Amino acid sequence: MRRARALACILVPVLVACSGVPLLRPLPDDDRFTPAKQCGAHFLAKGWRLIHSVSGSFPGGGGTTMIGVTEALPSVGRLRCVLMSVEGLVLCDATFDGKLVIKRGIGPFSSPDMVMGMVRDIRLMLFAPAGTPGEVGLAGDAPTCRYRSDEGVTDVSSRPDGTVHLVLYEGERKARTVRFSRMRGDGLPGRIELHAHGAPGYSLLLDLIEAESLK
Amino acid sequence: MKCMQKKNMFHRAPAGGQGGMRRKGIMNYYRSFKLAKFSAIFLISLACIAWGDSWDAIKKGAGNISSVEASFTQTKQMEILAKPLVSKGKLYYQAPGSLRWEYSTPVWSVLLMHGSSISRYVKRGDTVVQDSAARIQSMRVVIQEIALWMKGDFDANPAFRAELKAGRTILLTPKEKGMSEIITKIELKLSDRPGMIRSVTIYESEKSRTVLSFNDVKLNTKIPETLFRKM
Repeated sequence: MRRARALACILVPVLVACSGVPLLRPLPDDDRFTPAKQCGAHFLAKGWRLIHSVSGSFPGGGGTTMIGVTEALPSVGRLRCVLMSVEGLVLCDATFDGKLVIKRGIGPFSSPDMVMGMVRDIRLMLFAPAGTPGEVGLAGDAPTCRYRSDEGVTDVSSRPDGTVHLVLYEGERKARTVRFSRMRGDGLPGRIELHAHGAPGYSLLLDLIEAESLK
Repeated sequence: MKCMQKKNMFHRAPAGGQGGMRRKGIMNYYRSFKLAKFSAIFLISLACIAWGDSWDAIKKGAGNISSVEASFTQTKQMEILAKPLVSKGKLYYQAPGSLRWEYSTPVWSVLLMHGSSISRYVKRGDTVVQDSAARIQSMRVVIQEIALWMKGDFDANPAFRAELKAGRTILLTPKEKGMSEIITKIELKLSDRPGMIRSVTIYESEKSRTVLSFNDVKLNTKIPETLFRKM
């Protein structure tokens, strides 16, 4: 019994590590994959004001739906985000411009850690990873761009059904997966699904209600 | 007893989450009192669909209402929005305590109350899901509150100072700092027509407010019971 436990202690971390960042295989020579176009098309290329319905769900079946307003300027990495209840109560109003400023935070949204986590998720969903993809190849069957930064490894892959998948690894651990779908004519995804892995995990479903280009 | 019930509702401590405990934090928030309070304010506005130039007249008007059916438009104005965010919906109320409060756009959701049964449904993507039971528990508190308001007792709420202003305007201002950090004041404008309210404006700050306006109001009509029980 002790031996089995000891073996499990050795094997489980090894297996977890092996399920981490996948190796990229070379793209076929005749592949018409253009990384800049296919890996970054769904990220914001200019300033936008976006209004989403934001549905959160949590293990055990709990969840709720709110309205999120985001003013995003990718050229400078600036964000302002407001989260309100369907009834209109503003729960959180925060800006991030290299530094987080919480203008209004009710309950858990008064916590800078909590709000910073929300800002990180929004940046992950809206802004392209910094720099150019260091590696391009196939992850599984999907053409994938790989970005490396201090925050970890980010894989962005486009799928034949028109959706784009993003995976963020922190170390070898899969931290976030994001699926972009219902691409609109203006290049914005009509739907974004984010899953946060680990404990406590959660998922967010964002449906675009309104989009306004910022001048 | 009334005061005790109200005090319990408005003085419950928020169950705050810690950094990194996002799930717990958000759920605690919704499970606890903040949303219940805010929902109460909106539902209080429903309860205030009464008429009068004095508290007595308002109470008398409230006593004459057996049902309310109305459309509402919710207009959210705030600094980040170039133009207001408009939500629309319908409400139905049947005395003594049945309510259907339904948003149709931009995000569908419905609150149903009938007897001791309370449920709330929201749209998650393309599917309709029931809100968590814990959150509904907090709504139960709100409903008890509404029953009091329907009797025209909204000037007795210990959390707000109520003033009856000229032009059939009721001004509610929070007594406590904790509440005033969330809502600075609420302005209710009563209609010329007895038993009706024209608008409710909830001020969160100088630059953020929510205006609820009611139209197509029908009083004391027969409302099918199923509306309060089924989505």
